[in-house]
Amino acid sequence: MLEPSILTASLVHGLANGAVYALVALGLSLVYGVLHIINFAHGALLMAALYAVYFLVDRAGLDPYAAIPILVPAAGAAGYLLHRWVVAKASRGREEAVLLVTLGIALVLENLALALFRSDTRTIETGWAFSMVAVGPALLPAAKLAAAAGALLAVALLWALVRATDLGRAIRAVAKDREAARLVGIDVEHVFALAFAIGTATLGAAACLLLPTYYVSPQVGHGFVLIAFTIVVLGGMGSFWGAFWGGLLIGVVESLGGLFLGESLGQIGIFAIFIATLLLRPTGLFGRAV
Amino acid sequence: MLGDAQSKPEVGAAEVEKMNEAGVAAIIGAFSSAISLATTQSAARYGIPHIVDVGVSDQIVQRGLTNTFRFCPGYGLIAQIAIDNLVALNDAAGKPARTVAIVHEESLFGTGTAQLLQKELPARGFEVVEVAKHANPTRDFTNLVLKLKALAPDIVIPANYYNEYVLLARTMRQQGVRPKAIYSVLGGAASSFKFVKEFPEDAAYIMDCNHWYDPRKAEALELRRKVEARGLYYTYEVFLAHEAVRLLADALERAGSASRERIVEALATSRWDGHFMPYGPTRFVNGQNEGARPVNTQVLNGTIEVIFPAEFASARPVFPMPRA
Repeated sequence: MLEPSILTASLVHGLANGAVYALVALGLSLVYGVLHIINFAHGALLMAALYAVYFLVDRAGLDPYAAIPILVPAAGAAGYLLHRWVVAKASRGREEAVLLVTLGIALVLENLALALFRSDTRTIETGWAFSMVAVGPALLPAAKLAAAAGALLAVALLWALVRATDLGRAIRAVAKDREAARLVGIDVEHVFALAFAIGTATLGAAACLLLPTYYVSPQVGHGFVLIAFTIVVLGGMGSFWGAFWGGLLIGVVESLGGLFLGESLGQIGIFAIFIATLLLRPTGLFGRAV
Repeated sequence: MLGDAQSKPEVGAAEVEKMNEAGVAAIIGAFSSAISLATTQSAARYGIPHIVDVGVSDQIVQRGLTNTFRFCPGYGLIAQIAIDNLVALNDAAGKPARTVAIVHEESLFGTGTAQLLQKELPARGFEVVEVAKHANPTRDFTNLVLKLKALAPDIVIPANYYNEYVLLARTMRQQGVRPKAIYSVLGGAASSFKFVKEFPEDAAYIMDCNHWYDPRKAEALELRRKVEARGLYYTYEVFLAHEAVRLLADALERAGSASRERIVEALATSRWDGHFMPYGPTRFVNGQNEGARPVNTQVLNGTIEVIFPAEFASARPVFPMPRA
């Protein structure tokens, strides 16, 4: 069982999955950091993005990676409009109402997908999706490694956006103190919508990276929301690097858990970490005490 | 009427309610064991005759429901015949295989089949080194296959649905896991022309004990031609559903009415031999067609050949399968 080739493969495989989890969790964390709400529609929006990739590949014959430049801005625009027209209007500025509105959006999107596409599981076939790459003694699917590389690049770009642009500074200012940000002339409502848009755009990228080795169905987002939420709690609510390292850690825990305990029981590790974090360090690994 | 169960038993049961209100005379369905359990029970409340086309769980016909009729064999019999044939195969080859790993899906069909195999195989000289359950859907078998690689079983027995079966077989080949046989019991893809056509290298030499038509019957081959002419694959759910419809048609003719009671009676006394399955005339005991039998197939030279039973085998089994 402890042969190096098998352990290495499982570890690298976990890290590759973890990179994509981190990207999904970063979107959730960013929205939490700015809007101070857990976006319950995050999983349903990922599902919608996965369907978009599926149809771009299946109907338009596009390569899933070539869909990234289309889907990221499209998802961002959809996220912006969704926040401006639905979330902001329906919640009337009350944070607890925002929570309920995002839950409502999730229910509507999932049932819409069920009505339009039925509950069938859909996958795409690409010629290269199953080609293998040797990483040390381990063999790994090229598409997994490509997804991990793409996710890491997206994380780096997101980091640059948050740290080095005016928009990033505005987002951080609103996250820290929205009243003070308003006083210095930042359009807080616009920043809210932009943060929501960026959170949704990360899902657009994640969907393109995921689909070659994953599937889409109306319920596909559930698993991701649970994992992303665990990562955000583990890393510290709203913490950028917390979400990143948390994602990698959860990916590895899931993979090694699957190897040693089996596919079904392997998930136990993720939720054990979730409970342990809440009990022992409620602020998360990188979070600050409030 | 068509009802979409959305892969959920409760939705299947709700569809039966709608069908009852619409006054249907009979129901055929529902492919999955878990859904068939729910739909047959709902149909029983209204006395609607229900022909189960594919659901293999034996519980379906063990609840005393007089409205429920299953044309195909259940997993108890299929697992038994699969083990008998595996033993015969292994003995004929000089017993090269001793260890077995079972990979099954999490619902009633996979779990029930795996439990039967796990119980029976040790009594027949095999050691079960791993029983791995996976969710539906699963889109990543890397860990499971790595575990198989470490255990190196002589035989891998998958019992799961199409997508997961294909992915498992492909991942096994990619990770260089090459047992002496991949021997499925009700393998979702092992007896599928789609799998053989799309992934011939992954499908090569895979054996399966599954539902299959009698290749000596002209009607079976004619239906295959028609199905393939429409660009579809001739899978077991296609020919089993087709024959379930013809079974109902025969019962309707003999009942001479659309009365639910009369159709139930006609099905219970059915001795229909106009079908193209290798079953003999229908004879339902507690709702189970007693003559129903599976066959063993193997993917050889890019097509699916019947290897057992001997009376209509189209090829000799290749076991152990050649190294890559």
